[in-house]
Amino acid sequence: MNIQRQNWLLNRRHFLRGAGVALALPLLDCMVPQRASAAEKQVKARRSVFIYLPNGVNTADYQITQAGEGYKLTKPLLSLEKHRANITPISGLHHPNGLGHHHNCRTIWLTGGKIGQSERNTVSVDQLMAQVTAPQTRFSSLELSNQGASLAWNPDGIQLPAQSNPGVAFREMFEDPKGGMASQRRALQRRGSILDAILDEAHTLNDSVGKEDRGRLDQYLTAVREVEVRTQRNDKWLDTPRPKVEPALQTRLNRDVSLQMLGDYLRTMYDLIVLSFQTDMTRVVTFNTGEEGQGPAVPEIGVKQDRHALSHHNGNAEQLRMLTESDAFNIAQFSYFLDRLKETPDGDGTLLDTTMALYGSGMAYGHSHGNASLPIILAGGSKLGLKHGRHVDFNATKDFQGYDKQQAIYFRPVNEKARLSNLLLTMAQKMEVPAEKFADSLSEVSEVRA
Amino acid sequence: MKRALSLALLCGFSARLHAAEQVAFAQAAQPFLNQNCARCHDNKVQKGNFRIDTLKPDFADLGTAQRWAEVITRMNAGEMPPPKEPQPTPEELGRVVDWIAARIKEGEAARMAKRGPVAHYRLSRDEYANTIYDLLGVYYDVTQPGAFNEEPRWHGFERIGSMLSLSPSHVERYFNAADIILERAFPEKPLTPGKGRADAIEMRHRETRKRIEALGIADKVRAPLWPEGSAPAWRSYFYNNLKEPGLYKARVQLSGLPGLNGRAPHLSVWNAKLKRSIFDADILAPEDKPTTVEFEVFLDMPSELDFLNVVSPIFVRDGNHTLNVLNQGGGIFTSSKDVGLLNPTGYKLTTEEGRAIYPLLLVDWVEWQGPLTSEADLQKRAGFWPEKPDDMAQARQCLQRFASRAWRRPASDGEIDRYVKIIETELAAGEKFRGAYKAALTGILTSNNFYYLAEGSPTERRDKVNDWELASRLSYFLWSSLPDGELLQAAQNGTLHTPEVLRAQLARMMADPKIKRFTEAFPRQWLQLHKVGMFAPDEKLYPDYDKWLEKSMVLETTGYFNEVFTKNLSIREFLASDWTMANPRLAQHYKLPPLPDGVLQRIGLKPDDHRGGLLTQAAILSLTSDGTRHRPVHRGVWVSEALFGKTPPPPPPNVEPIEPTPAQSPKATVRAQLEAHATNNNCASCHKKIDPLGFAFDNFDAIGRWRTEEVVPTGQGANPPVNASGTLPDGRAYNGPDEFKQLLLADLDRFAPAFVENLSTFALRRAMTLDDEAQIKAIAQASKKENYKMKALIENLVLSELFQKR
Repeated sequence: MNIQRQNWLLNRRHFLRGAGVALALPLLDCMVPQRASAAEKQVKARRSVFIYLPNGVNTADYQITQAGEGYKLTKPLLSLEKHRANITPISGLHHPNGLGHHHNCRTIWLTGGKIGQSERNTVSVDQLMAQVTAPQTRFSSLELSNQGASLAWNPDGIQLPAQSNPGVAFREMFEDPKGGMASQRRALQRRGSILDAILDEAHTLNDSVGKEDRGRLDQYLTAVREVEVRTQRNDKWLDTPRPKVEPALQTRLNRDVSLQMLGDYLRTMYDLIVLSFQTDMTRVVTFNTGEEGQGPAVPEIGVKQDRHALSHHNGNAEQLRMLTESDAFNIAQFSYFLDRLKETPDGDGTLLDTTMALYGSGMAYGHSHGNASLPIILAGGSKLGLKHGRHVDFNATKDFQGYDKQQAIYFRPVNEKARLSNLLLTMAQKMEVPAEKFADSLSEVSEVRA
Repeated sequence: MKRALSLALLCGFSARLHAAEQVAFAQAAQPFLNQNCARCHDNKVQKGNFRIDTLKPDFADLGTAQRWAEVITRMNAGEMPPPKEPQPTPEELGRVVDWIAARIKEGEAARMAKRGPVAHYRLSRDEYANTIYDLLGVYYDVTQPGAFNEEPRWHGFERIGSMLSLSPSHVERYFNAADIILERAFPEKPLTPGKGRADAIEMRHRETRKRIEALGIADKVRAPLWPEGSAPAWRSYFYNNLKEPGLYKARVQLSGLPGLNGRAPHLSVWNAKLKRSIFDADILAPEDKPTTVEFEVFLDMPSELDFLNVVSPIFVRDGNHTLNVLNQGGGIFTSSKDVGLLNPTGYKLTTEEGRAIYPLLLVDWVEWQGPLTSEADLQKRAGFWPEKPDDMAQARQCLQRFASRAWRRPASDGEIDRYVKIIETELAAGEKFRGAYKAALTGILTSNNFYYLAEGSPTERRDKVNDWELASRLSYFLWSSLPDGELLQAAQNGTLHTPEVLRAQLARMMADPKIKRFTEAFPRQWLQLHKVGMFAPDEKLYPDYDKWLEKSMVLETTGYFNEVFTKNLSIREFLASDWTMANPRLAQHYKLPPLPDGVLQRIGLKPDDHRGGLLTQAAILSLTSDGTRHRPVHRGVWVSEALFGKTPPPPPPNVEPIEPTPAQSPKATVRAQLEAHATNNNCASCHKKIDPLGFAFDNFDAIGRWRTEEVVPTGQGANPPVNASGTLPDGRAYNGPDEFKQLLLADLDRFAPAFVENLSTFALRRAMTLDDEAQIKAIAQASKKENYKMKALIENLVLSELFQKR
């Protein structure tokens, strides 16, 4: 046992007492929900991944029109046919705070927040999950994004930075920082003593700031303390060796891939996510596959315009055709991700059984920013208590006039109660987040609960 | 019924408001509001998403006071009640407006008192980079992957205190950055500069060098770069002796032949890791008289750089083997006179006469030298590192010097104690002195004192900034960086705030080369130039568009601002002018005569050119378009915000979208579609004010080219003619952009305060409120005497009460 390290922890203890700092505790048995089945209780690791597709879809081609079990997958969704037993396409969900707010929809996709001049975003559901899973994994969560902006927002409503280069993300997770263990420990200790000095300084300010600035100082203290907790956690993990990745896979993942080769890029990222789950580096991942303003084109299949330009198609048949091709292409890569999860063993099942994957957009009909009835697909997680096999259609209310009268349903929710937050809440609960409500949720989504 | 209800609501917040105020409100304003406003703004109907019955008469609250100010502005302007509604008498209206205005004024002191004794403003990432450079002479690229994220913007401004939040990731990134920066500033071993050279054979024919040498043409080989072609400029295997990150100087010899269409080839040096160009220039040099270009750039190692010829794509990208043919290394280029070694099935690069068919670059060689450290940069670090290791007294002095400089104010002994303790702890843990001392420096750079600008004292209430804070305000306003020695000296003397000293310092600062940071950053943020290229123009509709054009557009606008500043012209030039800034690419885009050399230069304009002022610059016209079409409404909103400081209310949620013209209908302009759409009264009331400001520019397409008919992709018949006429809300009519600009010139006195407001927002790092309005007007008023000259406006702002108000 390293005596010095103990001293350091002891010296620093008093900084952890502050309000708002909850050192995450390991999950206790009593926290497993009462209604969990025996199989659910046996699950060792619960995982979630959220994947965002920018600018909605070509709704005319995408929309599944039959509700329930006998539904037919539409053209852009055909690649998912083989996963039918493990997916649930959902229609009719929306974020009430997103309606009419154009491209804010990515910002609030996982938060359900209200954004305006004076409103800050709120915590995203993946970060609530990460609070529960963090003590068990080396990384509390992984944020990926091919064009920069992440989907994850911390409890202060601040966007977490995301990594766009698969190689960098790979190295952060699987390569030991340079210099060997002793020097790493020294580096962490050094950071510890610098943090001591900084926090000590900040405390002298603490009592003297006004209301408006108080928020900013709290933000500062929380941020520095969180870095301190992370430093300690890193110190703890130092004794646990990182998993060895076989050379062939390493070569494939430890590299940057150009967005000009979108398929290769997406599959590399998906492989990286699978590996991070398989090795239990993290249990919560968000992946933004494109920004609302510039979602990537797909040069390899001849779709040269970005998704934003395609979605503002102006009724042009050629553009609509290419939008559908881009949709189908992106969904096919997601299908590849499900393949990979399904072929990777986990306990007596596969990763797909213990991983909930949410795929979709915060936009439905991009041409004029319609963001009701969002394209959403929920997959996997059967051992966490999800059931699949149906098209859950919240638009199918008794007054619904069918999908022929298309456009309007993408602007005004048919069913005001069908909120995306309900689904996010349901997923959070399956991750054992002790929550009864998330953002503006009204209920859980019983349709996907086993 | 209505009255009973609003009274009930009034009672709801009586606990917070004094009874006397409430009674006064109920007597002086309530009846008028109930009678004239509540009809459309109560619990039943909320036109414009606004309710008057729940707007509390709480004038001590800034947000509420702002809303009341908006209410009386609308009533004063005659907008409310709307003309078709029953009207109050002017006396009734005047009385209520005066009463509310007086209460707003009274509330000012209370609103000021509510503010905290200390305010913190985080440095933006650009400011962080500048501050580090001016502090230590170290380049740190804040935009590289894994460094800092883009800052959130408020109306284009990247440095608004309330927007720049802090998360744990930020703190971790500050730590990482500090480690890298300090290692560069105080390296363990001094850097050893070296030289490297790569010729065209190295770039194109590495594997066959021996064969080429045997042919005896080794000194003649050139690397041809056709449109979108590339050649490696830096590979780690090129220069085995250049391994250390640092500042490098490059010299490139090359020729640049314009294509048959007159377009100059464009050299761009692309950094693959940063995914951006680090050097750009149009190259014009005959084949037999190559030119040499030089530039300095900071390189992180390992680096990968390419020379690109960036002009709009000429070859189809796929379904065509052209690019492959051209990219093959097989063909060897020596001269347009001797093409025997070129690939016989490849595309022709030159005519029989030796003229380039497409804009063509011919690269001969590149030389690199570095890493370079200038004497000036070394000088910046002097005194921050102790000469004698293990001498704690000296270490303390150095820390004190460093902290006082980095924190932009004297650091106290008590503060330095904490950092001395870091050294002690580190030494006790077995660290060597160098590492221990560096840890203390890291602490100083990761302290909130460094990356926050703090204003105010915890122990006393101050309404003005002190001289140290004033020095930082000035330097971050004009230099986006920390104060220099002279400014700090003036602060130390306690004289900075006196008008003479302030004026002298300002003049000195405006003459310093660092002012370029202001003349680039301010127009970029004020005019929201980050939006240029955000929606990439459709390749089919705008085949002539390319990345260099996009960059040139932004260069024109920031260069234009720089010209107005440097020559101290009137801000009237922003509205209309007979000159602009252009480079050859832009001149061609504007159909102006070709320019003699490759740089951005001031050029005169004729009335027929239809350019001049900001509004007809391609950057502005394209940032208000969406990549396929121009957007008149967006253009109108932009004019309203950027020129008049008014943000129109956002459209209500769930507006029915405009459907595209069906293929069988006649072609219609965007304007015609909008007008057919704006039949709804609710929409019309706002659009009447916004749209005329945008229709004036219908003569310009989505990338800013002049036109007289609008190209409509769908529908039947001929393209419709452009209608760029309109009537402003105040009744003045115009026909076309040139007449519109004349109307704007008549409104110069309205533009000036809006410009001051933008300048103040940038300088003071916060949104201007109602409490700043009077001072903003006074600054504009004072500058009118000086014909609204740019430097007069800046000086009047800096010398104003507003600038020193906390």
